[in-house]
Amino acid sequence: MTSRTHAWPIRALAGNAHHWALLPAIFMVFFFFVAFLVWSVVVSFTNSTLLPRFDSLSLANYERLLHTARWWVAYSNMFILWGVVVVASIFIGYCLAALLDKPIRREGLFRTAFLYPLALSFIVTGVAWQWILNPTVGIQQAVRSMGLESFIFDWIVRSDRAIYTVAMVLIWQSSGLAMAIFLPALRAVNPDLWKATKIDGIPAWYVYARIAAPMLKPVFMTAVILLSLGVINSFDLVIALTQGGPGFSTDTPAKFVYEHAFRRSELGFSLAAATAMLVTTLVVIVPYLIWNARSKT
Amino acid sequence: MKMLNKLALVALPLTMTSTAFAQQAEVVHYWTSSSEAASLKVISDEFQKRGGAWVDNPVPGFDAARAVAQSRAAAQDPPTAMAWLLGQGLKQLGDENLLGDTDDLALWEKWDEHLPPAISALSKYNGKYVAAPLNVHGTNWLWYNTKILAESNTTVPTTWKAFIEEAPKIKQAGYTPLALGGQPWQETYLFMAVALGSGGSDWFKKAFVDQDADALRAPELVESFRTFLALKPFVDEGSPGRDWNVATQMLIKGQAAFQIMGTWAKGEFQAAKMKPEVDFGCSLAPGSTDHMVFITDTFVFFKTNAEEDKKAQDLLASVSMDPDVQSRYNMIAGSNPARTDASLDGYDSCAVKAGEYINTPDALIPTGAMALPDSVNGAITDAVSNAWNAGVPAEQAAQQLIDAVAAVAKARSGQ
Repeated sequence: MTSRTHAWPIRALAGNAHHWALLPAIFMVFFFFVAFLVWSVVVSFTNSTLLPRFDSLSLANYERLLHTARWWVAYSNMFILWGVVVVASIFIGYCLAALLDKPIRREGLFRTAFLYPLALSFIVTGVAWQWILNPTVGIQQAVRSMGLESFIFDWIVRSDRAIYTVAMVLIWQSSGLAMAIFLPALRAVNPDLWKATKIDGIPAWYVYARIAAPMLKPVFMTAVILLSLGVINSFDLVIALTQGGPGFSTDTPAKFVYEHAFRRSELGFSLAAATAMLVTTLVVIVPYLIWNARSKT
Repeated sequence: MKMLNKLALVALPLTMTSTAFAQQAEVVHYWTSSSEAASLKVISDEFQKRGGAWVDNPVPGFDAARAVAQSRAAAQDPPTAMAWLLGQGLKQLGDENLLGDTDDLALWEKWDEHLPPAISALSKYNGKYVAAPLNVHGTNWLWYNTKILAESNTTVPTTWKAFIEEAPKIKQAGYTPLALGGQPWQETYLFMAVALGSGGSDWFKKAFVDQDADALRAPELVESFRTFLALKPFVDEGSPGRDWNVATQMLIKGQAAFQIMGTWAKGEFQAAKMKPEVDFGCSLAPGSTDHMVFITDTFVFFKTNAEEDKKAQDLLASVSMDPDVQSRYNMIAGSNPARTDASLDGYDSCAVKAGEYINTPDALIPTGAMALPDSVNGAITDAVSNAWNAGVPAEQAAQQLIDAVAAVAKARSGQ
């Protein structure tokens, strides 16, 4: 209709209206995300301290990063957290979803209860769990006062175990999310499947584990991505739960970058750490994206 | 016509705001606890009494306040003044060409004559005054619960060796000998007190003020770590993550005997209505031999071209350095005035003790946060905190500290 009643500029605009509408968003993403990212990477090659300085470019920050013990602790913590939290949350979330799959009474109550931790902010979770896990006022003290004098649960004050308490709290918070993702997917599974397996006499747990789970592969991928985002965003949880301690045993790359940039006035060095984090994320994500794109064509 | 009247009515108050006070100071600070805010009020009230307009911009948390200052300085929209620390913090700002100076005012009011030389030296950049020092807090103080000491028949130790000998008596009596908040900065404060007491003030100054790399390689550092790690059995299990004031509460509630903390801990005792020498005691940390490691809060003034802002900065500097204002400010804050001629009337015995050290020549040693660049301070904190928490033996811990400081020094020399 536009071709007959309007001149060509309006036709061009009207036909591509959706492209024009996206332009502000594209500009903002490009500017605030990509441009600043590139700026950060460039500053990581400088010796900036308090404010960015561009007098000389070198790899000195990266060389120093390789020899910084604290960075390696933070970096490996990220992988520990990621591995433990994603695997455990998905396992627990899937089990909870499987348990809730059958119509049961007060299903809404259970669903809400399992999802409730997700509604809490990381700070609230961190502070509350810090008290619960503290050996002198928390679980250890409670169990001891009930009679078991030799009970020990002091992981949060041990350098070698504290990171697992962070993982535990993250799992507690995120399992509900995993459950909420799997439940509708399980519900969407063809009911004929259930009838067929019942006739064949296959036990329910086998159906969930070996038959339904492979059918839900894309849902698993979604859960992995959302949980990974949760792990990378756990900066405030670490601050509230352990403050990176004891020592720096629960340090994470995000906290490392923040502290070196603002508290220690080592902007260039901290951005080198941030760039290392970026490269790690790309190394994991990009092959997956390529594989995903290829498998679709 | 009615529309015009309405518009004029709306526009009138807007025009009135343009006649702002001539000396308006926007001050960014992190003094948000009740005693800190009350003490800051002394300065802001005096500032307003002298005709200035005070625009308060509190940012809770030292790091957050610094982040705000950094961002605003980078955006070239700095506040009029900011709460900062003396020494290296000023040098960093000065190197980035961010500082204005109050040198003319300092010469006029003769600040050189009324400040201890240690403080006036740290308040200058390139020989000119750039900061108005407000207070002196000691950081190597020993606080103790007198009742627990009496009960366990312990005396106040004057050396760390004596401390390690006395502490088991307290533990046997059922109390925690040393209340420590397991945060890296507190662990470092404890380590520095031990280093000063164990290695002596000359070595301490060479290693942690003059940044002499050879001094760090001396056996005193290993010895300091050995004594430091020997204190571990006397700290309770729940220490990691504890805030400093919660540790002080352990003394107040009669659960712990000793704490190494700065003079701001006095505020906690005062708030709990405990009396010095009666319920609690204060002295320099064991082995300090009359040397006080100190930290000083100050206002720092950002460079500005506006005449109005410069006037506001000068007024604020003048108010902050007024001996009467300093006397009243520090009484509430629990610290000592930076000015040597500020009156100590009404101060308690702990403050009087501190005042004596301030007036003794060469008794003041700047703390790491002032004497060392933040990056070096951070590297030392990492090494100390890791040694304490991960059970690293003394020789290895000393080597880790030396390596960390060397790595940072190498990075800095590339500037």
